[in-house]
Amino acid sequence: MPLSLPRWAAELAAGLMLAGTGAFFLIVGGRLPPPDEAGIPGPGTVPMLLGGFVAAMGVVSALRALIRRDTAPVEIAGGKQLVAIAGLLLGAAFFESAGFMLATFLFLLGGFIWLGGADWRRAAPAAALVAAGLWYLFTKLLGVGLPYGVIGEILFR
Amino acid sequence: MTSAGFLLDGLWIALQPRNLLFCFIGCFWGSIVGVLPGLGPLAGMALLLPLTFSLDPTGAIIMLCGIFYGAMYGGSTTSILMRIPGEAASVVTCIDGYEMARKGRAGAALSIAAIGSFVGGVLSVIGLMLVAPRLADAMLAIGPAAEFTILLVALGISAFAATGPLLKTATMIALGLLLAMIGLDPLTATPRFTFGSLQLADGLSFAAMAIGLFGVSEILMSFGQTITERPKAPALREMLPNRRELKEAAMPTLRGSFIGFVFGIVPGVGHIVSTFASYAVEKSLSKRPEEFGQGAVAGVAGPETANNATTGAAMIPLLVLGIPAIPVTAVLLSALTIHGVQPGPLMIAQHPEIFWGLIASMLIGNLMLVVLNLPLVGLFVSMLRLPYGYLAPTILLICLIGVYSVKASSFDLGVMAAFGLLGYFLRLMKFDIAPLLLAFVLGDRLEINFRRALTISEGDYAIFLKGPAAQFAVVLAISVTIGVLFLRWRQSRGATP
Repeated sequence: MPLSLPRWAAELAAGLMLAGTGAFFLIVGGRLPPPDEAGIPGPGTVPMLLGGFVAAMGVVSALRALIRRDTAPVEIAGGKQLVAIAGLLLGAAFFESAGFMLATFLFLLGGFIWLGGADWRRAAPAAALVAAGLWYLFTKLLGVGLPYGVIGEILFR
Repeated sequence: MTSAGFLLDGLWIALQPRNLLFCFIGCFWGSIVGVLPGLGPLAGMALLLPLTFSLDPTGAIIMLCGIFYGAMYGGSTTSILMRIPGEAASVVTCIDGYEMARKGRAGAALSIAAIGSFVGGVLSVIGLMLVAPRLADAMLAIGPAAEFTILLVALGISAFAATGPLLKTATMIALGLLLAMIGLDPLTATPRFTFGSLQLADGLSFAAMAIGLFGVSEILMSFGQTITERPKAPALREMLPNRRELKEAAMPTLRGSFIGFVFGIVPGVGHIVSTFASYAVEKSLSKRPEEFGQGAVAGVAGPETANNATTGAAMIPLLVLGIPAIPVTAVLLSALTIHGVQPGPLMIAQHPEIFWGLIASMLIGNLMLVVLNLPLVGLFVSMLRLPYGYLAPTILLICLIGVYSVKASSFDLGVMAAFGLLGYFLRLMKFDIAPLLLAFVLGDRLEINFRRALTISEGDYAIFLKGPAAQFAVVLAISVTIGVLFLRWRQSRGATP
């Protein structure tokens, strides 16, 4: 079931997030060392100016969303998007510790099953084949250094 | 030495077997990423960027440029056969290209697109050859104040040319500039927004940001779309257009070259605007405008030519001013910088072998693509028959590998995932993300020149108006602002541009 919001609520959230980001740069920029001479910009001057601008634009966007109240739905994310994002985050977290082969195999297996709707008996050999093929292509043919991990150490070192 | 002499030298460099191989690899990979939905030229180039580290700068830039214009060629294949643009610039080709395919003229449409792309590519390279050295000479005279203003104008134009509302685009530019501030301050080496993180001291990784914003977010967006069309490759004998089709394509091809070249020079405008402009021009000049949308040859020839002409012209701001006009050329800028080559007015004098070698390789590469793409249509079509549920995880994985291989950093993988998510939400909210990336790339230079100019003038802001170069830049900024505001006002009143 896809998660959807009325456009005004999504726009309001986006505006507030922008305002928060701008405020962050404005405040942290203000804490950076001041310029050596008055009138000459220092390390914090430009970030403060830009942060202030983004914060102001965020507030304007949020206010516009509240005034316009556009009720058309915006589909924020469906199951597939959530699976892909979760897979990416897990892949990023375990890419080095698990090693390329294992991380890639699991990433593809999950992807083929949940994104491609494949049966695990078809997905597993396909994932293994693609993982091995990519490993060979990138490390052996193209010379890219990829993390071995436990499985790579046992099989290839 | 004259331009012709330099070009001959460039041809000699480009025809070295090693450089020919790099050109071929770039064109072939570019065609593949152009064909596959979700992998545009930007992601395709970013993925191969780490592989260029071990190459000499000339070979590296030849290969990356090959990907750029190869993807422009490849994008038309899916547009014509499946009504799915392989990359954004091929959207217009879907309209009449697909209709031609439905009438059994898919082969002719692909050939016309390929010939138009070749002509547009070659003419734009000739234009690049003529304009770039002269513009470089003029640029050598400017100081930090004028450079700041020119960079500001470039960002301003990209804001006006973006597809989203002005307010949102301006916010994206400011956000891109802010993200560029993360890391060590370029003038005082003060850490900014790093919170003690060593990974952030170098700033955010461009490759992670670019692949996240464009590659990953594109995949996430495409999950919502359903592809029902089963593409069929036309037989080789069906590829030749007939005499009437060739005649109908001739003038749109020439006009498309001119339109593409002009739009390509302007920062931020790029391929999408040039292809739509070409389509609009062809429709308005046609004696049978009712045929547009029903498989008009001019509706394929004009936009496809403009698309590739823009590619050559987009090199002018990059190579001469060091300003990436579009996100793809930002990757090229990044690649050149990694190889110790600073694009800008001095590049032609300091690295003639790269500049002229690149120009010559673009001429060769365009010819290579015509020879390569038409017989390989069958291969590309078979790639498109792969179920998207299998293709998407594989593409996401290639994105992971591409980002990891730049610095072997897991942190950058997290940055990519975060920017993929950010790009997805921004696109849902109708923000144009291209200006964000352009601003990120230019942020450093913009700030350095701003602060240097004010240091020279001891805090006097009038420096931005002093000197002919600065005044010219200011006049240009005002003229462009008025011009674009006028166009936007006309569009809002419902008039066709």
